Amino acid sequence: MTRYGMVIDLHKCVGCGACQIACKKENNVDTGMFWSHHLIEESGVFPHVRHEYTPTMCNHCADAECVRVCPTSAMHKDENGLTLHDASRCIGCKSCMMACPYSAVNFNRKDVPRSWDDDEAIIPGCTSTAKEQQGKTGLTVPYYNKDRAATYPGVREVGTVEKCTMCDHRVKVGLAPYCAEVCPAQARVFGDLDDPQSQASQLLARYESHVLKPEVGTHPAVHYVRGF
Amino acid sequence: GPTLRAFAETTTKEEPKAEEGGTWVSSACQGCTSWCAVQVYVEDGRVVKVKGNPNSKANRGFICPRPHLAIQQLYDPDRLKGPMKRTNPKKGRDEDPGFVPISWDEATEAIADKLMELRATGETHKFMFLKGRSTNNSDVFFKALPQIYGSRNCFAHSTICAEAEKLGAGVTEGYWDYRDYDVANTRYFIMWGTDPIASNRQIANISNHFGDMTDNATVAVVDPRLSVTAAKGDEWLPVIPGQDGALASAIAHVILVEGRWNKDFVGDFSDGENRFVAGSKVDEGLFAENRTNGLVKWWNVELFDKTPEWAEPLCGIPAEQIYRVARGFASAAPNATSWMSPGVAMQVRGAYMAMATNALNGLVGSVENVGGPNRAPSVPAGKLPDIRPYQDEIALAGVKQPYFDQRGTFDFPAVAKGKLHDQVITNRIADCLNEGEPYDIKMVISYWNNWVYSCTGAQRWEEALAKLPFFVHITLNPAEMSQFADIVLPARHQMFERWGSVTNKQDLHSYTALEQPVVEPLWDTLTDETEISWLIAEKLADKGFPNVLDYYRECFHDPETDAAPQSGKDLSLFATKIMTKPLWDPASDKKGGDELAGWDDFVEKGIWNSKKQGYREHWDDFGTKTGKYEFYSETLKGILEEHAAGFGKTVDELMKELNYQARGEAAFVPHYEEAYREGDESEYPFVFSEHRSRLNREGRTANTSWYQEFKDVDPGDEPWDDVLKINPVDCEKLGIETGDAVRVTSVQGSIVVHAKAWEGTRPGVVVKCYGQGHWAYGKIATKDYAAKVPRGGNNNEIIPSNFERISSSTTRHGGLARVKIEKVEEA
Amino acid sequence: MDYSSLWDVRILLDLFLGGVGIGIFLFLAFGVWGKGEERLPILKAGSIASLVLVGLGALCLVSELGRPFGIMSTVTGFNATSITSWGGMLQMAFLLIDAALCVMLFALKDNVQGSVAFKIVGAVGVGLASLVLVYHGLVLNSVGRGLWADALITPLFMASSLLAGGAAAIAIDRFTGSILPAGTARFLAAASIAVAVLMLAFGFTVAPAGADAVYCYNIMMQQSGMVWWLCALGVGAIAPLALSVIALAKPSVWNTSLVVATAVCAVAGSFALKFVLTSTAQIFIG
Ligand SMILES: Nc1nc2c(c(=O)[nH]1)N[C@H]1C(S)=C(S)[C@@H](COP(=O)(O)OP(=O)(O)OC[C@H]3O[C@@H](n4cnc5c(=O)[nH]c(N)nc54)[C@H](O)[C@@H]3O)O[C@H]1N2
Ligand SMILES: Nc1nc2c(c(=O)[nH]1)N[C@H]1C(S)=C(S)[C@@H](COP(=O)(O)OP(=O)(O)OC[C@H]3O[C@@H](n4cnc5c(=O)[nH]c(N)nc54)[C@H](O)[C@@H]3O)O[C@H]1N2
Ligand code: SF4
Ligand code: SF4
Ligand code: SF4
Ligand code: SF4
Ligand code: SF4
Ligand SMILES: [Mo]
Repeated sequence: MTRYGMVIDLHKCVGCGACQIACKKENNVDTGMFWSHHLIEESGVFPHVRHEYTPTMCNHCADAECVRVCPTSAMHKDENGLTLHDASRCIGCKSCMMACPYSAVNFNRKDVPRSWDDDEAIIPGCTSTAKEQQGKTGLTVPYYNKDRAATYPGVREVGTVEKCTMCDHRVKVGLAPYCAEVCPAQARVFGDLDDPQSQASQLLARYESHVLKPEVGTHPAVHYVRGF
Repeated sequence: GPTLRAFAETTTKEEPKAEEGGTWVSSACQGCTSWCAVQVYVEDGRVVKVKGNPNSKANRGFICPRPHLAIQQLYDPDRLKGPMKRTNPKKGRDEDPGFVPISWDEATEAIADKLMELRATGETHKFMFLKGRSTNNSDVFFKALPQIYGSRNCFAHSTICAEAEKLGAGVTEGYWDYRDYDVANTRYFIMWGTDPIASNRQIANISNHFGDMTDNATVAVVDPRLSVTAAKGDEWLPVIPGQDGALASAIAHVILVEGRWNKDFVGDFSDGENRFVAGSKVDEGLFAENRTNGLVKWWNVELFDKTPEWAEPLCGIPAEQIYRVARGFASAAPNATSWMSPGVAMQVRGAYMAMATNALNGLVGSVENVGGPNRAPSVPAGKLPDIRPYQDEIALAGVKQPYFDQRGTFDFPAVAKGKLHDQVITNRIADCLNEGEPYDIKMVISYWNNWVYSCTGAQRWEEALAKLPFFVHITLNPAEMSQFADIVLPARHQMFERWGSVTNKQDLHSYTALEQPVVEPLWDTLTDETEISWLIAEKLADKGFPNVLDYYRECFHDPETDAAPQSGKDLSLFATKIMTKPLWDPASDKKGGDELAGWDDFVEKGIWNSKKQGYREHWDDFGTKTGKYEFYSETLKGILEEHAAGFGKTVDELMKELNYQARGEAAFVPHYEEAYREGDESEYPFVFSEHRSRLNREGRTANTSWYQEFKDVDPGDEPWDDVLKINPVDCEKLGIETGDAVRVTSVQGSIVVHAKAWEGTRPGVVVKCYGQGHWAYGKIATKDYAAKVPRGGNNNEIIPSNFERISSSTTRHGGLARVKIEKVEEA
Repeated sequence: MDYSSLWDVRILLDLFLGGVGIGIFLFLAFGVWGKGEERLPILKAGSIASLVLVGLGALCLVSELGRPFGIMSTVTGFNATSITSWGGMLQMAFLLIDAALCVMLFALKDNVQGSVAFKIVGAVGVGLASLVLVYHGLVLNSVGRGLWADALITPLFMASSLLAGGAAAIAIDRFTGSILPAGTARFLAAASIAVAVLMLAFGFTVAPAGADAVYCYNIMMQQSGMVWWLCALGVGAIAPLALSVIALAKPSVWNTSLVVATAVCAVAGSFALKFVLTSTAQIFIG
């Protein structure tokens, strides 16, 4: 069996945010939504202060709460252990968002205008607008990534949810998830956790690891080794 | 670089694979001074993504988060679509410029008219040319145009950047430049305000090394605030801003008293007995120095009584921690690096701090050594064709006029690369304009800079530009500086839309990376350094002054085909080829660097890498005055004496004028001086310290949503906001809570931002990131563009303009500004 | 409610209206006295009321969906582990049964109540109603996050629905002309006590539900403590209890005004309770 997962080496991670920014880029994620985000924890009193940065994403839980509660089976587990979302089935009930202990699911709200639809120039006639760029390129945003649409709508419909797919569109063609690809510290290692030879499994074998909120019993496929 | 690891399922589907619909094109990133080689993924003529150029031996295929932001810069809806001109003759922050679109023809016509006017009146020197960031093509525009035209007043942003840092290395190790670092072999780092996984000069490269660096070495970070490097490092030394000199002296003191200096490099007492005993001076004759100059002088003038116990109250670092760091650092010698940054150098008394922190490398013999700070191989470069034949009488008269920035006055020795009166005094230009001295500037062209925002004492620039009769700004977005312009010209984005090249060093390799127009621009924009200059040259020719155009036509032939340029577009390409010719021309000597098959090969690879820097190459002659590593800097002494003598004064008088405390021999050795602050402590009780954002592409990214959404990558900061970070103890005293709006006021001015209670700074010192507070630029950067309401506040509106005067550097660090903090109603 | 509550007021309306509707239905099945034709008016009024209330609630729920017209995927994609899936089916089934009962009551004149069909459909209705009653609480509880993880959420919702629905049914009954037996007041007293006890107990079960629950509870108390204690407990449970005790002590005062007052209190209290629990307690979720 294949069980895709990611191991994030917090010791290597420099907390730069590249993975999360790039994730938005790769997956055409609009302002206000995050497929990959972070936790920041600060503790202690000057001068003994700790600042810890933990990049987060959908944990592709083995016992996924989002999947359990989804009334349409739109949220489902695939054969490789990924938690995927069939956008066409989704009715936008947000149960999955409610249930996910990691706030990994985003809703395309109707009351929030999409940033890329903006139609007002700051200096009329002299500066452009987002709408004008759409007109020129015929795309949602000029930097729209078409590849995303191979396995999931390139941009998700208003009224439905969306979340990290472990870049299934890349993984299935042999590319690493984009966040792992762009990480300057190479702190994110993707792989088959059931394959003891994978770099990810080897990291897990070498270091003690932990998952986020183990007490909720979701059995994440995203593991963290070492400390920030 | 990050090689793509394969996880492909055995799939035979014939659909296009991810990242196969487009092509990767090489270019270079100038998001910061690292200038990493990148590759851009282009699909249907659009930029879709970026990655590190795997051909690079410098950034080694890695990039930091900021090139991703560059894509949002490129496709920023608030970019200019074409040239525009002002219709409201009144200038000022509160005036609406009334910009209307115009054609390139109309724009360059107006510019050429104005230029010709000054030629007619023999006032060509009253034309001033300013630039911020630039490429290796810079001189084609920035030097050739004004000098053929008749003005030497072309001023770059160098001294608002980091020149004091170069001075520190120049006068000790004879290297007037930024150092490179051998991080893989370093076992101890002292990072003086250096935050190399977030800023400084090789962020992507160091971010990749950093996990191993902290595994293999001790990382001690001296920074007033908890930077991310401090957070991840082994030791944080939260120094009181501007008091690093005390700390550095104490570290040196411990190293000497405990006999931990590097005997091979520095030498030893002839009889081997260590006479460096706290409190007592030493007979110079007893010490036989090897590759250094003046160790005992340094000891006798400065170090002999600079114990950690002495330093503790001054710098705020416990003596015990000073001992620990000094011992750790010396024990790791020579694989130990004291890494100096603008944090300690760009201060009013920064020259000696830069010297002191740098000199620690001399003490432990790590300079140019394994695991120490290193130089970089030189990169063969093309030369700007001779402009002299194109200068006419008027031009020659013009370029003989005194520099407008008044370099070389008694209070501004303006030292560059060891030469007196050779440095631009960038931030003084505003004062010169305001005073109308030494003459009245009538016209300014300015590109790739935004000094109304990026210079301390920013209000002075607003005043100065409001008075300027004719101002042209070349920019991507309508920035703060553009608001004062008569004509605004839209530039192409450096990374995606133009030709150019950049030369730098990282990871012990020098390199030149190519910038290419990887996509056609969406809007009617042109390349600043070549296409715009061509259009202006054409217009000047139309109006009877063909020299600039002739120069371009005759001197910028395609080095491959010898074709003469017919357009700005040609000039762009040919100039880039000329400036990089020795790198791609198979006939030239590559000095052990990459062999390239020709221009096309260069275009494809995108980079030329030098051979790896060798160790100890300058140990026999550092290029200082003595040829030695100078603790007692004969080099600096020569400079200061020469400058003082030119005015018939003594060095002591000069020191006083330059706002230094040193008198006598202290002026020539690294030493502690008390931090210089502006504002009376009773009225302004807090010391203001600042740092840059790891998402800043200098002052150019605040208008991207990703910058705002991820602003909390800067420790203590908040998304979509600009916060003043205050120790909770101070918050309590002030009755302020996180989220409260506060007015921060210095002698310079005030800004209103949100308060943030934060343990990452000491009581008494408040910290704020630089990068927000734009009142122009676009919809995201501002809270309200039309109403000019900034998102947060610009640090430069509270940091007064002041200088490290030997190097002319503008001082943003060291806690220059004292501030008061008042709770206010939300703006 | 601007801490970006994911589920807006329409979810609350579903849980509230549906709860009252189900409460009425169940009260009719068990708590209605009299025989034969005597019962007919209240049965008619009650079944219509429950149909309308539960139906309106369901409409609110569907309209709150991001993609209401995709609702059929709840059928095609039925997910056995999803309480929402079950809830959707149950509500739909209940509405059908309730509608059938209405048709029987209104269309079939002769001794409907005696017919086997009516009894069977009624029994199925009771079964479905009970499940929907449970569902209203369980749907929050199944999300398992924040305050909704609290074990008492479901019983609290059930008790609140029964009290409000019962009180409403009694008022309707009063308007259809019945003379109310003492049992009604006893029911109201008991249901009020149940709600009050559960509300008081709620605070003690928060801690075992986890740190998030405690955090939410504290915020909820800060922001809506008044609504919780005054409206939900005071008006919603203590007032009906007091009124029903008065009615029990002095049956002569158990008049229309008192009955209506009790119903208004109980219904308002149920709304307040569910409002606080569905909206305020949503923080930390999503
Ligand atoms: N308080 C404070 N002030 C600082 C600093 C700090 O850390 N703190 N840092 C200082 C340092 S080190 C430096 S180097 C300076 C930099 O200061 P500047 O040289 O003024 O550079 P930027 O602020 O980046 O502004 C560049 C401007 O060029 C335009 N522009 C943007 N992209 C392009 C492009 O691709 N091409 C062209 N032609 N134009 C473009 C925009 O108008 C933009 O505002 O700031 C200094 N100012
Ligand atoms: N992310 C990012 N990186 C950049 C740039 C950018 O815009 N963004 N710009 C590039 C440019 S133009 C330049 S010149 C370089 C600048 O090089 P950097 O090394 O980035 O210099 P700064 O950011 O000016 O200052 C560094 C640190 O000095 C600290 N500091 C302030 N006062 C003191 C003091 O008194 N003592 C000590 N020890 N530390 C102090 C600040 O907290 C800050 O962490 O960075 C380059 N790198
Ligand atoms: S993290 Fe959340 S969304 Fe992702 S699988 Fe787990 S429960 Fe589902
Ligand atoms: S919002 Fe969509 S994916 Fe989430 S639970 Fe509802 S139907 Fe399933
Ligand atoms: S795997 Fe892909 S979708 Fe998931 S966080 Fe990384 S980049 Fe985003
Ligand atoms: S890109 Fe890598 S180093 Fe940066 S935050 Fe993400 S995991 Fe950490
Ligand atoms: S370190 Fe600087 S030059 Fe390199 S990729 Fe980042 S922003 Fe660009
Ligand atoms: Mo700089």
